[in-house]
Amino acid sequence: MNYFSIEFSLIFLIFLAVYWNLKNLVVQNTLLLLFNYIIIFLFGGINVAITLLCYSIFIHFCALFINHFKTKFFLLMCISFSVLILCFFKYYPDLKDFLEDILSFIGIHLSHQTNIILPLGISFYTFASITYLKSVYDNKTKGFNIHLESFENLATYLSFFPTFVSGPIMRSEFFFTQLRAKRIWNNSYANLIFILLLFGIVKKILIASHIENYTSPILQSPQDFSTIKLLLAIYGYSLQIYCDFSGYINLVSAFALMIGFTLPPNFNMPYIARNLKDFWNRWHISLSTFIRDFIYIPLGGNKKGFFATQIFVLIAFGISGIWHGNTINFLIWGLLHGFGIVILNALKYYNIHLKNIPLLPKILTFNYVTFCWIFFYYPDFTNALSFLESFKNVALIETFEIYLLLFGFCLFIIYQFMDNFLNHCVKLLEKIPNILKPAFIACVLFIIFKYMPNGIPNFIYASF
Amino acid sequence: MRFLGFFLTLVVVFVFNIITFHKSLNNYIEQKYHINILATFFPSNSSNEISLTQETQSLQDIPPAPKYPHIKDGKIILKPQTSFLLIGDSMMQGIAISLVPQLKKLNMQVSNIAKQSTGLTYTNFFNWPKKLEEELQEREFDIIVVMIGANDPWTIKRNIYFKTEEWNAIYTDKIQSILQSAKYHQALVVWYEVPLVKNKKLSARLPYLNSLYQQNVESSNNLFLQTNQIFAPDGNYIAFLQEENKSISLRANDGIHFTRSGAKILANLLLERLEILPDEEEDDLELDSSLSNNDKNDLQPPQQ
Repeated sequence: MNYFSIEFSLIFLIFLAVYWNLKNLVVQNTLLLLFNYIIIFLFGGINVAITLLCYSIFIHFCALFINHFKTKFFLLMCISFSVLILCFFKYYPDLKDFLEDILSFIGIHLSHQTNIILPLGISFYTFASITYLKSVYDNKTKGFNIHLESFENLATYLSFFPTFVSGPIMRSEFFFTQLRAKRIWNNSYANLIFILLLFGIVKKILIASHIENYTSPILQSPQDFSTIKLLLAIYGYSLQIYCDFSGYINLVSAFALMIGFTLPPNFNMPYIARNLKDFWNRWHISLSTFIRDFIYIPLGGNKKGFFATQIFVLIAFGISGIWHGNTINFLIWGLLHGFGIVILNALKYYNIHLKNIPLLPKILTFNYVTFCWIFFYYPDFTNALSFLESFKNVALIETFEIYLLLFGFCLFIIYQFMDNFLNHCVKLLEKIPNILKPAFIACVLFIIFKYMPNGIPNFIYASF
Repeated sequence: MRFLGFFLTLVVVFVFNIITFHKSLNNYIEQKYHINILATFFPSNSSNEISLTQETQSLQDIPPAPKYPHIKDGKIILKPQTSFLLIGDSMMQGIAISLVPQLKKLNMQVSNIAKQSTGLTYTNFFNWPKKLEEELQEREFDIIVVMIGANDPWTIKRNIYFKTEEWNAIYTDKIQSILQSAKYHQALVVWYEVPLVKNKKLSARLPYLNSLYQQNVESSNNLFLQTNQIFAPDGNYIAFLQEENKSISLRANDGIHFTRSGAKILANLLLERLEILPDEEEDDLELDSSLSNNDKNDLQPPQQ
């Protein structure tokens, strides 16, 4: 089951009807916690739900511990434990033999067939728990402990169904402030919710899925295709991953609004970025700010001189790459972005900039980001290299592909002026009388479902 | 808009889409939960999926089988530029990740049309025999590689239960359709055994399916590749293969699909059966008549 399944739609509709008929906040929150766990069980199975419950208990005790001892040492120890748990699950298949040797050394003999499976959502609830532990520590050292939450509240936060699978990473204060506030249905949000749902569905099941059907055969056998098709495939993948992930964010933002919560923004037109720094202020914003606040700044940020700053940038992006996957390609992908920012910092240091040439910085940034995706797409280095080598393929120039490339370029230009597109759509929907809205939305969905590819799609980021 | 209006809008849109796309929805439910709602409530309106009638090619139309590729002593003797067509479900898609580039390195032509969530049981959802015939009519292929079955061992319609005589007849008919299409278009079939999976209920049903594949594939002089010797050596699912004190991960987290190393092992099972002759060689290899893919006895229409 996933967010696009008929089962989820049905269960969510029933939940909404009950949820908004409850007037008591405590009962409403209890129902939310129960619903979170039902969804997690249905999405990932009983083991995922049990792992999350155990992890929530662990974090609750860590928070009590930090609250009691108030020292940075305990904070770091608790965060290290959470990161170790994440690493254990994430990298177990690669560390299996090593871990078995260690356990066998201390007398614990595991079967060779013991398999530890990466639980759904663990990356995102680990990040969420780190923001909570930090918040408890910060508030305690400042003299108050209002941010020490009850176990029920903590469990609701870590299992919050809209953010559970792939984020966005919601800071604990941001969530708990909303959880404690009286839930009020905001009439003005209805149109925004409809538009977010439609945006999510169009981006994911119409655009991303069709692009995937076009790009997959090319990316899987690049040696068989011409340079122009390879270009189309990698530009296509760039668009696909954006539509896939931002479509998911639109969808879960709508779900959160439906139950009276707002989520932090995660995308802001990333492909209009003027440079790589700007790109990371617009792409997966909650992850990049998390890495900034919890890796880059604690390392020293930009306070320890120009050279050290660049090293910290590379470390932060290297970790971001490794978090996405434990292959050399993900590390290369992270470091390519890191090096890009180091070069940008160096240009700034020497006062060199390209701002005066219209569109060029945006085109350069988009192309750099796009070619970095090659290392994100292919799990091993030889495949990525083989894709790049395939650009040497000599083939006839295909007219259709040239038109497609030009069409893509036109889209890129149009995209530059679509900054407020979502808001315009909301305003447009507001003009339609409420009585006609079901017919309008049903017609739009009919067109989408009619022209979508077969099958229920999965999100790329669900596997991280 | 108040909550009630908002909620009613959602419900109306939801119901409208269910009514509009009820056939797709029914196919999805049948594929996932093995229940055909339309057949249950409207038996006369549902399509007659279980018809055994097949469009079988006339025997007179069959041209003589080409010399290459052919099977000899369990090996596929072929020449460069042999064309492969990969069909099946998401397990085949997994193997294809490793198999396609390796075949291309060997200078073969490969087309991969495997599709997730498909099988032979619920042809309303996706009809492989029909799709294969269309592909073969459109383009010539020399070898059809198949892995299918993990979505299949369930009840057909309301009451044709797995392993019953009727189920067996319907399913065998679909296997035969694939084999006959291949035969008519002079293609060899390499059929992978479905490796056992972590889910015990599904795993317990797979050996029966595998026996049907093996029986039909081998009796039609095609190649059946056994996988469970590696993927379930003692008749039990394994996630890791022990090789020189090193664990090699075979299966993905879901206990069904393959890791890259698992896919590579499966791809190698086929690759090690290939014996590629130089392109220009004019040899006098005598075709093994019992294994030639021109045995017209195998081209009888399925039993009605």
